[in-house]
Amino acid sequence: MYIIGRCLCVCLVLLLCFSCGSNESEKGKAKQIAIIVSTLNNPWFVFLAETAKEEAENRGYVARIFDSQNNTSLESNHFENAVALGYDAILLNATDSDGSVANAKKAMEAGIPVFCMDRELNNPDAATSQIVSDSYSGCVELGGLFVRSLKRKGKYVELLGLVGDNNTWNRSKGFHAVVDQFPEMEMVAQQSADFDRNKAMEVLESILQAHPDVDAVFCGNDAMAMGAQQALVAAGKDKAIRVYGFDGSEDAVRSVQAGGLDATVMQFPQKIAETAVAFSDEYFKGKTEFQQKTLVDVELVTPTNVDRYTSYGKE
Amino acid sequence: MYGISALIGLVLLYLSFDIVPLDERAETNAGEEVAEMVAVYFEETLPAVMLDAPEPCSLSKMLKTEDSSGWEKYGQQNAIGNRYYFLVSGQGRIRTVQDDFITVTFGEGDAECTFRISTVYIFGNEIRDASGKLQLKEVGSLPTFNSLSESINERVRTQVVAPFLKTVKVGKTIQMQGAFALNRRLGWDPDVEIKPIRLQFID
Repeated sequence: MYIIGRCLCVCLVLLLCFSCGSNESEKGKAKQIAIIVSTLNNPWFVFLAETAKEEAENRGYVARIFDSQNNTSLESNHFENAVALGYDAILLNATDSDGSVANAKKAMEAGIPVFCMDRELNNPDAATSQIVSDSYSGCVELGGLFVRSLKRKGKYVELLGLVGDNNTWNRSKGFHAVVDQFPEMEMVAQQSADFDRNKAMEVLESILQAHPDVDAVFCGNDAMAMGAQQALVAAGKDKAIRVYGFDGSEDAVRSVQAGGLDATVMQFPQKIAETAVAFSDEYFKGKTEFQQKTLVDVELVTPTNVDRYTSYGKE
Repeated sequence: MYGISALIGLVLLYLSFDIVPLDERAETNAGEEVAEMVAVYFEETLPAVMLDAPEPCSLSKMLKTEDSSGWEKYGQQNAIGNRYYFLVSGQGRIRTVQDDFITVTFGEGDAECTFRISTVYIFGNEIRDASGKLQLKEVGSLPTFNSLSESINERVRTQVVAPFLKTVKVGKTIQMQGAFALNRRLGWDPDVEIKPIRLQFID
């Protein structure tokens, strides 16, 4: 009886020690943030993801980047892993505005907050908050410059991004909100080049066969603008045809400086990433109500002000 | 048998595609809700906030200095970033009539200043955002919020600027209410254009 009593006491003490220890380690354990990004094949997204990771680590969190390679199935796997591994928040740069909704919902249903960076989801309940560039307004401004540069008259081509991405349509709609008000502006072709440089080059080469007399090309991102520029250089028409992009990527800013691209619209991925991490931080500290969408300004970069900008709006 | 299978296969293949014209996705309508919000904005909200709008020369003087009080007191923001929107109201004389804008001189003597007032490129969020009374979180949807700017600008182009341009003349005095945007990081822009809200000849 005495021995049994001693054993029970020892077990109780050990149990207490273990339980105290586990509480301590739980308290001291840093929160983990998963950064799920659409692709690491584009330097813009690499910068966005790395800035978010760095900002999270500066705030004392553990952060890991997952590359979805523009594939919603792979993105789904990342979400399943993030939930299973007990991540405390997810910063999502979605692969598809519709296709990523189910993935984000998985995490939300598991009680993990999801903060979208740059790419919107078409369901407000699929994310805790969405931090997005004001692409529409940026392209309204670019559309104004476009029409002024062509003196309200000319033929142009529009290269669209991924058709499943809201940014593609926000940019296109902003641009057309201005350009379509001018009846002598004629769009001779509108085609998707998937935000891809090589595809843009091929698409424009084939458009130029049918429409050799275009005056300008509007591209939904800088990668496509650089591809379009390459096609024009190859055709010996780079001096005659104006090219406009969107993003503020390193090569685009350099091209504006060198007299290549006519303009780009600078996005600020650093601000988007920092805001997403700051929102996660507020969530961990108890905040539960967030604005559904937070807009981040974009700025028009032209040959006259390009010296005031660095790529990706780095500060 | 093979024919029926092939037919079923073709039907299934057809049903597996969702064909949507490219421009249909970009289409959103500024519906009745937007029209109603714009009417209230012009008839009630703007007249009330315009009572406190600064005179163009005093505001531009403040914004040209190192002191940030003008930006904070009169500037409005609707996004994270450097863009600030301002309302202005004042009486001035038309100096020139250009293709895209008119230039108007406000104030007198040392306090005189000249601004461009857009007559063609009336697009963007200046008029929507400069009052600080229309916020995305209250409007809810981003497409609706964007439609508000489109409808506001269209109303100005058709109901304010079009009749004004019919009788515009150098030397005429006008009462002007308007809005403009500046980038705080880049500072004052001498080519900034005011988007008009109200233009009225007073002589």
